[in-house]
Amino acid sequence: MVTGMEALSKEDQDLLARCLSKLNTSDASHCLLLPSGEFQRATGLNDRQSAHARTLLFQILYPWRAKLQRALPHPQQQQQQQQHPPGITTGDPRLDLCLGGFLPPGSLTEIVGESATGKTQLCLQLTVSALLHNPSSEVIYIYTEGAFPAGRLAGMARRRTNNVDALMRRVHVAGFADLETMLHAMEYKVPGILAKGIVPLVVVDSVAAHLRFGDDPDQMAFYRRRAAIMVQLGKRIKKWNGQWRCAVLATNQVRDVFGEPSAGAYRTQVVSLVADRKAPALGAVWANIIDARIVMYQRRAADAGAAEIAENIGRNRRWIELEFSPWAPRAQCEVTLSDSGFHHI
Amino acid sequence: MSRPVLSLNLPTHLKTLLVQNGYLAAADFDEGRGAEDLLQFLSEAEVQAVADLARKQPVAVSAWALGQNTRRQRRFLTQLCGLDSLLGGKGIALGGGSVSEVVGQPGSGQTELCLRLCVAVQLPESLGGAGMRAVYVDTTGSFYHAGAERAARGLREQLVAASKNDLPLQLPEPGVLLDGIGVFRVYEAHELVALLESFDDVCRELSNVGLLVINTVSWPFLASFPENLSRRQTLQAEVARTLSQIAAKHQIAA
Repeated sequence: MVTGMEALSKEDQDLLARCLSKLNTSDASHCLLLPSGEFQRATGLNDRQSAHARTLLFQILYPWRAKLQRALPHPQQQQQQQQHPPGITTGDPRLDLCLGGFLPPGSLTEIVGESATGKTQLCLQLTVSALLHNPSSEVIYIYTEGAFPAGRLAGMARRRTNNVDALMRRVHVAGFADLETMLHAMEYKVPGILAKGIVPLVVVDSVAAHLRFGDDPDQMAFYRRRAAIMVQLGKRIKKWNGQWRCAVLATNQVRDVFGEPSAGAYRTQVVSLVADRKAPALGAVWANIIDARIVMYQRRAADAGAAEIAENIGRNRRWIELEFSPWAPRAQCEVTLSDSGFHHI
Repeated sequence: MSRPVLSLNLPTHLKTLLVQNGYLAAADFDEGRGAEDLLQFLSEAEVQAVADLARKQPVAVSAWALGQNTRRQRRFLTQLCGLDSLLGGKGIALGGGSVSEVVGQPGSGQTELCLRLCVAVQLPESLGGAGMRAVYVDTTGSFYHAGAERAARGLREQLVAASKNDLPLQLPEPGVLLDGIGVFRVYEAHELVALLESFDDVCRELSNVGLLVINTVSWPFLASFPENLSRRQTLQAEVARTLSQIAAKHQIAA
């Protein structure tokens, strides 16, 4: 029995049950994934019955009246929003402004940059903020690149609260050595924790580590399979976003770009990375799945020499740019890294 | 000369029933056989639909008449610099069965364009709009109140600046503009299919809908069939046809 069917009359229920058994499925959504002509042929119904069955399926699978939302938030929601920002902040108000105020609940944001630009640092900083913002919240942190920097997290927390141990206990850290275990955990374990309803933030640091290289000698087959995996992953994350209103951060690595970057090519080019002949890894498929992208880089001008880069690294200077997002315009700012995280200069 | 029943724009099952019961041409409805006869094998709503259609549709439409219709179509300007002149200066037409596609790299501004159109269509005709509401179908979670509000405020500021800081009286407040956008969050391909096939009801109840935006139409199919290109394409083709029918039937820009 499909949910929603109980409200139908007996004849309608029988009709739908016949359709499901003719199509050899218990999932009503499969009926609508066939073109209407094929549906009619497969179920053996006449024109009128087929149209009626499809209408019933529309009502059950997407009761649009219940799903219609307003573009303007409810006045009650608006009041709540004014009292405390309902999203993920950095703790530094001027840096927050650069990111559009906060990363909204239900968003999937990518943080991309070369190694040692501070992607993990930024994730840790946002984690501490999320936990401080709500004392009963918990954060899920998936870490795939070596050992989780617990010491650094504790150090950052110590700058902002006395209750460091309690805060650390509210971070669920999971490390995965390979793709299969990571995907398995994301399918089964993560939803279990999300179901508590108190997780405002999930960090995947990084998404790229287990997806970039495969052992398949056939390149095209590898890319096809990887694309399918990324699509499934994106679908799963968006379901978390929608159901639990958690923000998800996913860090990504960069890859080298060979040859001149051509203006007309349909390729994911990030302006701030182009000068360094780098582009985000994981390609256009992943770039189309994320809602927003934050780029972190070390030098500003294309012609900055080695001396300037060395100086920047020494001074812990970075640039953080909100390259695109559906909630705020592009913005960038120069930051410096201290014990408590990144701060606007 | 009367139109054959099979050429009328009715659902297939209705046409089959009509033909089976001896109604072969539109003229057959008028010649005394009346509504009581039809009610024997059709519901009241179906009889009404058939009668309306038979009265309206002539055998063939002249090119001149179609040209007149096109000239009379309501249009709205996008209010985006350059885009309106690229589109011929007259704006986007509501209806005529045309569906527009927006393609671009991530970050190139598709979502922002969609939001700006949802706001622009609501402006009164005196300001270049069509005075109608918008429906935004969100398949990727790209809709945020903050983004929509930015679009509404941005448009207002632009119009105020263009009119030399003399606030046009008919310019609606951002709250009103946001209220005129109905948002549907759709996760899967079958949900999109269900919503589009039920769109007749949506239009009837929401009334005054002039714009349907789907952001994005490709994701739900990719998500449902990540490895099966041909299944994806077949279903997408059917959705494209449905969209075109919606656009024509309800005089909407899609």
